Amino acid sequence: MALSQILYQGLGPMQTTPIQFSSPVDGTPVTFYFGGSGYATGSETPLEVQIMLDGNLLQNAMVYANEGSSHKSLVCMLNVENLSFGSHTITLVPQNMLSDDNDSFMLTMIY
Amino acid sequence: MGIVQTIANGNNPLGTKLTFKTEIDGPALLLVSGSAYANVYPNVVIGYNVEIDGVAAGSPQLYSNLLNSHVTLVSSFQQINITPGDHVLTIDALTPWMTADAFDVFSVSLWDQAEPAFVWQINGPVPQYTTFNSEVSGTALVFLQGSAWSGSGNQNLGLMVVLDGNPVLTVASFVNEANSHHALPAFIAPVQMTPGEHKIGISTTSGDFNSDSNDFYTLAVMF
Repeated sequence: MALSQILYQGLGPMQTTPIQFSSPVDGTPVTFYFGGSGYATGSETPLEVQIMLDGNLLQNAMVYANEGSSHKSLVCMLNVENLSFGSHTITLVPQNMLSDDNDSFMLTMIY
Repeated sequence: MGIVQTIANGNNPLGTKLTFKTEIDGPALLLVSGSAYANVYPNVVIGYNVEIDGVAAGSPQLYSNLLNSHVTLVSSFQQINITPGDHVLTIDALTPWMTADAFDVFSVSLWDQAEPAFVWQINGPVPQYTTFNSEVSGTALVFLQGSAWSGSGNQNLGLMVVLDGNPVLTVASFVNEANSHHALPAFIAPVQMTPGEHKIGISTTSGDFNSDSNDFYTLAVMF
């Protein structure tokens, strides 16, 4: 049975403050899937969201934007992590990327 | 659902040939996501041809109206059978009028399936509906990614998964360019499932949403 929990869902601007969550598993693999979009005001810009788990880079989502001020969907670079039971934080850190209420985001924990 | 195994994350996807080891035995889903661009003509289908051990294992793709502009592809989520041990993943260009470079990224992962998943990969237009059978009761996972376009540009494009008449997952994105196919973000969300036959479909949520046979959709329900 697939167990999962949506840790973050919403429209932009994307939340950049830490997202607190509790791991229901202890030492077993957990997958984090992040979907979303964004834009840069300038052209020829690599858009990126770094997904930080407890302050360490877990994975990122990226796409290269040739056009300035054009919303682009990101490609999720998926990773798997063994989590300890209890409290953790995920922080979404945009790099070269803006988002507004025309962008949507979802971060799902699968275990 | 069991193990999710990352096979590859990186850039420069075309020409990838790598050996990976898995412990998964039996049915699995291969999720392939990435970007690429049309470099010969605009208005062409671009994507990856993905194989495992020489057998087709997925094809993320998009109809690109733009020339020399990197675009996100609609991910493929393909059912495969795999055995424990070493396997070879290869990724090549789907069509001759495209390429990818160091600014393009890709991700490949293998999702073990304790129960057979329902996977539906279709061309537009949407809405479209089908049926599937669930043998489980409880929480499943639903994955959706697709593309669409706007005739006027600067429009919000919305897609949703409708299960037994109820929306269970909504994805929205903004397209700036007119008449240009655009991949919406890929989302995965939990959904409650009961045993038996279910009607499921992909529908739209916004006004100036256009979808045609050059749009691609991937919907998966994993138990």
